[in-house]
Amino acid sequence: MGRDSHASRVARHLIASMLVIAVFGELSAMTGCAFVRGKYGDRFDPADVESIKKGTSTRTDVAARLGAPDRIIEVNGHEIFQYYDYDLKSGTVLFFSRTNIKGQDLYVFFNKEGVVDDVAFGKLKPPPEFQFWPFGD
Amino acid sequence: MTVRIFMQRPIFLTLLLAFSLCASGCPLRWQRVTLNHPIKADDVSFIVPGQTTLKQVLEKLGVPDQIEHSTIGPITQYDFLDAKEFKVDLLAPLPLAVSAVAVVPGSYRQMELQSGGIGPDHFRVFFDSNWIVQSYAFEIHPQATEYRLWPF
Repeated sequence: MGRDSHASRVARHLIASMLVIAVFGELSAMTGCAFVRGKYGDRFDPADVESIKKGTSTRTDVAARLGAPDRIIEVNGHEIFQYYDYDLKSGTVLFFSRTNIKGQDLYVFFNKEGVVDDVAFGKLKPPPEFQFWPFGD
Repeated sequence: MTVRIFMQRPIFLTLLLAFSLCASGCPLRWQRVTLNHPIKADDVSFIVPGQTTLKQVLEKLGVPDQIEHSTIGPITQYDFLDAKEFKVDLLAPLPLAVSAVAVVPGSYRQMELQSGGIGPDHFRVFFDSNWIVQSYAFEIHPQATEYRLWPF
């Protein structure tokens, strides 16, 4: 009787373990891994930005070098050309997925005569990282 | 403001689309999307209203995501975002227990619990007409982004 009870306990544990493995295997088979990278717009070429000279370059020069701006803003008496791009990296492993996106902006300020007054480019943000773990920071 | 950002920045729509697409076809998923590195209170402690200039802000925090006009003066805005989502399909393992269920198309034997949120956070700096900082403010939604099992 005791041996039967032990045997049935072992059998139940074995069946339970197999069920857990089967469920996990089934779920795993439905997921998978993926690493994706995407971009919106071109990353700015520092040489193009450096070629813009304050007090000399005009709207036409800037547009010829950097293309048409993504936005034109009028702030504080300045017309401002805004350019931006985005870089996206996404990682998926089994049930975990994380997508990191970073944007980069460039502003060119013009005076009332349409000549460049200032360029706001600042420090380049580091590119996004490939991660899949969605917890923590 | 959020609606305007969505209109101006197609990336936000793309992000939402990517978020929803990635979540499909998987019975169990923890998913997170982040935009830019969050700016924290310590990062902006150098700002002294009435003294700090736009140039100093740019040097420390980088170029803002938006510059807007207001009647008082220009406003610069830094955008950062955290979105979290948890999803589970409670009936996904059913064909393992009842093999006859396997003949039913997958879309008819789903019971998904899905919950999440998006926290569109901003840091705004208000300038006077000489580009001197007048004030600054955070707009943060820490409660918006949590993994939750129960959506009700």
